[in-house]
Amino acid sequence: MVSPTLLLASLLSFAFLSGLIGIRFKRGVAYILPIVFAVTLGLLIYMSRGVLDGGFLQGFTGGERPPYSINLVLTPFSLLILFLVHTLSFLLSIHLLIRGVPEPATKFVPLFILNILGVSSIILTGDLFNLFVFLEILSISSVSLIGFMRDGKGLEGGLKYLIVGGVGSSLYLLAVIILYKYTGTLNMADVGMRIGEVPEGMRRFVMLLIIAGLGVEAEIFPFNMWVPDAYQGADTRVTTLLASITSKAGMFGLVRVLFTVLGAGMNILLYLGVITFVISELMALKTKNIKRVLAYSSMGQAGLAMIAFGINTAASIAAGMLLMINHAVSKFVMFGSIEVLTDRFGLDDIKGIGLKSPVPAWSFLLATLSLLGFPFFIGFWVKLNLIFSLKPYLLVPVLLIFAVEIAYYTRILWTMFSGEAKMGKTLAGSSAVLLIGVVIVIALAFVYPYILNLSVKGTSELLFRGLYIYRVLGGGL
Amino acid sequence: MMVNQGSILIFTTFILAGLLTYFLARVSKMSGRIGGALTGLFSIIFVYLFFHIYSLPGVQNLMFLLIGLVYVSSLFLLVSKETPPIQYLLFSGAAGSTFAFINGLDFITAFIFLELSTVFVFLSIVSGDRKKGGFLYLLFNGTGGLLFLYLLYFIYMKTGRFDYSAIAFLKPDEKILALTIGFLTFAIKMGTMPFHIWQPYAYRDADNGITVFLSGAISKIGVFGAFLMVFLQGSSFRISGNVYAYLGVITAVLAGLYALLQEDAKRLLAYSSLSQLGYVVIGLGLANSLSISGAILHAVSHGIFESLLFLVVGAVYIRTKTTDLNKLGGLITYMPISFIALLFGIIATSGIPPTIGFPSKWMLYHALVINGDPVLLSLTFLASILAFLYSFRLVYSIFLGPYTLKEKVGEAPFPALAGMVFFLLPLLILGLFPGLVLKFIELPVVRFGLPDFSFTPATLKTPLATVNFLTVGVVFIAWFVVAILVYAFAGRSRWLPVKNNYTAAEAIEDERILHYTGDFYRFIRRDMNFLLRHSIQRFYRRLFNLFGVIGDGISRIYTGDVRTYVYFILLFILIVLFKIKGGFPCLW
Amino acid sequence: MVNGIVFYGIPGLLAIMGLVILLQRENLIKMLIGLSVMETGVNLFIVGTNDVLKGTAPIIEEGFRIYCDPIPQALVLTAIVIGVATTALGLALVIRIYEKKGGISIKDIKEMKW
Repeated sequence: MVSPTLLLASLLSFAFLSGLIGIRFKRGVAYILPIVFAVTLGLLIYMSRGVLDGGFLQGFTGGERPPYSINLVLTPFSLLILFLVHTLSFLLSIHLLIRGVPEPATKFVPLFILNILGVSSIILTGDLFNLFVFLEILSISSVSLIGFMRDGKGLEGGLKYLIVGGVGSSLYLLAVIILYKYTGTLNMADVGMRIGEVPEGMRRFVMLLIIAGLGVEAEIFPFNMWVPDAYQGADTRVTTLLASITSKAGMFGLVRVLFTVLGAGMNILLYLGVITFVISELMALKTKNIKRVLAYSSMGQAGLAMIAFGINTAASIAAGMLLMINHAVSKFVMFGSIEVLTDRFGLDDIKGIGLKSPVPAWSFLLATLSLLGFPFFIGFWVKLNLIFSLKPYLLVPVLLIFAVEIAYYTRILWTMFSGEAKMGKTLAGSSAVLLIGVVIVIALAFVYPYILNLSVKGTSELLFRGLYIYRVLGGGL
Repeated sequence: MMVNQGSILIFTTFILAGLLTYFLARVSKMSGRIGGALTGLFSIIFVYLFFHIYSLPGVQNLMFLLIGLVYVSSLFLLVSKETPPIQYLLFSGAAGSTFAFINGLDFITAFIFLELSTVFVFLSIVSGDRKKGGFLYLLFNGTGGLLFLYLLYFIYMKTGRFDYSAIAFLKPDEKILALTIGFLTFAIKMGTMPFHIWQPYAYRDADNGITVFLSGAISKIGVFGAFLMVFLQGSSFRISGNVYAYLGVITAVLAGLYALLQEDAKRLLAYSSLSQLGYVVIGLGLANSLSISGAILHAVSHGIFESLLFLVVGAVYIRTKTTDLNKLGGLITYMPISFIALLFGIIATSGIPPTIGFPSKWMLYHALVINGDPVLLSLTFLASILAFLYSFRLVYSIFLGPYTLKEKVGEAPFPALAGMVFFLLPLLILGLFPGLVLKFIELPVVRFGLPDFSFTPATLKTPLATVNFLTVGVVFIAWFVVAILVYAFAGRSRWLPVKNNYTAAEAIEDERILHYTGDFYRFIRRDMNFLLRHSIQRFYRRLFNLFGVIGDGISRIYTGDVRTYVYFILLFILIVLFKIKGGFPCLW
Repeated sequence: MVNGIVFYGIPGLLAIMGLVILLQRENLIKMLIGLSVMETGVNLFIVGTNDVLKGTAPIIEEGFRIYCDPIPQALVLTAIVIGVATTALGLALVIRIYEKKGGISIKDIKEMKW
């Protein structure tokens, strides 16, 4: 049996290695990216055998079982999201190879790998404090990437993220320490078992701090203000990474801590999800900058996922996971296409760009259809599952906001496919990877029962905290 | 959630046929054409025979036959010109989802294929040259899909079932809600008046073959769905029925009015199609056995004559590359068969025997008279008058008057002609023997009370009158022949160059439209301005802006100042802290 | 009570002071200082959770009866390092912003909004 530690170790060593290689081969260093993610994907597939049947795969430090060691846990839910993350990273790295990585590549490549390392660790870790450390790795690498191009907007977005993220992680750290104070342990499963030892009021306070702290990364409402600024400011290649891959880590962390460790806070998650969804989508309707619109839409989708998780039934959690998959792949294609199509993002600037270079524009269109939940794409099943797991009073607002979503996406598409193109890059034949993304959303719709099955397996560890705790603390394996 | 297996198989058949055609068309244009026709015909025959569609009950079967007819004819139009390969695929997809929708008898199947048809039509329009219609189509029909999703959820929550009969288990007031939502969905699909914005644009911008299918078949999804909604309610529908009848009559009148003002043949036909669907909604809204029969019969006749008209206009487009009414004229010399087809099409539109438009309108009018609402009746008459007016404009602008194009054109291509014949035959035969159609509806309408009418293939007996359509048709044909004979032998018309008429042989600039019907209904635009100014389009734009304004108000939260962002985090914590009982003391 | 003030009150005050600096200053460097002070407050709080007076190092020997929990100290080391990294990155960004816009006021980073 191979330990999940190997995944992180390989990512980390590749990150260092790429730095070293970059000293000698300034241009060639980018070629390491697909190799890295091919390796991690291989590892994941190798590790997935037991996990697909619903088992857990653990890695420990120091040869002791938790709670006496720091552990990494690969569960069905985390396997699903990890697989998504690494597949998309692989696609993105090939896309970047074709399109050219942001210069200097010697700095971009390690940062990229570190970012994925942060994401993977957050998903894998079974330790509350480690989650904090990896959160910081994630946010530092993200900030560096956002400010990478050194134009004013990128720096601005990066600094905003840095400050808000700093406050958020301080709050999270506070919560972790309070939990440690009362339970005397940092292991998620162990804390989860002893959560009863924390006084009632304190428990709620901790829950609040955790929602506020991790909510910054998970892009839910009052903590997500940095998102549009950062997404708009960053280089579009970086935004693709942030929107489709990095944002999943925050959601996963929040869900993991709330469901497994605290076993509380789903209601707040639900309310915040609704607020996020409504506000973000209305904002998106109003905004004129396409990158910002897509950022708001990402936040809206995050809110929708939080609604799904907050309802806390097997069907809704499975729908939430499917939603994360759909959103990740579609946003990958959409931001990728925007990057290929244009380098100015006002609604007037994108006029007619769709007619100029059809391949990325059509990829964008098809990915949008998937995001909007039309059939022939996985989005349709997601929407169907989601709607049927909703509570009745949520139905009307959610459907209304869906209509708003259709409206503003129609407007964007309409703008892209009409009128004379003012300007724009003409880069032919360089967006084949986006088509692969489109093929994925279509193909997923056909293997949907299998995906649903996998998600339903993932729900049990969230629905029944005891299962996770029992498996991690010794009952498993 | 079980999807109807038969529907999936039908859809798969059509998609495979479409894929095959797509690859054939990529190989060479000719193989694409031949392959398209063959695979299309094969798939429809396969579906008919294999799934025993002929043994399906009543209206479902009728819709299948009608959509099959439209499918074949629009396929003929597609293969008679340079069609991009992808259009074959998308057309097949749209057709397959339409058939699958009619076949599946539960809400989940209906929803899936409703959305699928939306996607395929959208993609098909957008992959053409003009795209505006596609996006409007997506906007409206996507929203309609959401409405249907609401219905789906509602019925599932109340009854735990997905099949259509679940509606019977609802409480009366729930029934009315479910019905209203469902009816609105299908009204959007049909393009009934407040939701009609997409229709003229979509019909104009779609590929001509697709437009035939859109008008003739896809709108029948709406008709069939609306019929189902009414049917499942049975006679309890009548409480709210009149509202829908008024919806229908407003559609019929306003769409007719708009049709007069169009300068583009396809847009004119779009509005005409809308106007005719208004009649169907009237019939469904009155909800008695006579009116429902009339509505279904009119849906069938609408499917036939509207498709025929679109087919002819499509054929004209193939030859002249334009559908602008001001640029066309005098084509009768070069395309006589197309002219005759169009002539019969507009005769049916106006509801004149011996075509199928006559019996359907006859039944609807009788239902209206029996219903006894004078406003409804007179408005419907007005709509019929409007139908005369725009039909005249259509036939005159395209085929009569002076020939305005530079070069000569040929008759429509053979497949298109075959499609016209395909429509002309039922148009005339069913016009003489409408009982053939009514037989399909005989059983279902009993749900709306015992029919107060009886029929044989050629005759119809309503409480008001008995009529033999065969006799009426023959008499009309006889008078027609007499009129032609009189014109041929005793006519005193003389051919003149068109400029003589207008200018007394003086030289004029070339740009002027000399055609008699050029901007023919200008006076209506002038006099009806007060009515036309308040367009519903503006209402939607304002709605859009309203949401935008709400978003604008909310957007003040996102100040761009990072300190505000931190404030919001703290504010959240403070607000929720106040909700926590005994939170602060625990700190110590 | 004295314990409470020393171990929780002072770090809490420090954290709130840091927050106030972050929220009330317009200078970006001062804001980063505020962030840093806030993190220090939290770090002190971590150490303070170990509220054992006169404790010693945790050695299993005779005479070491009251000892401190070592884990928070390990944690706080990590947290300090991370805090330093964050501050350094923030300052680097501020330098770039100064090069780009010629100022380090909050007004220089309000370009993107709404």
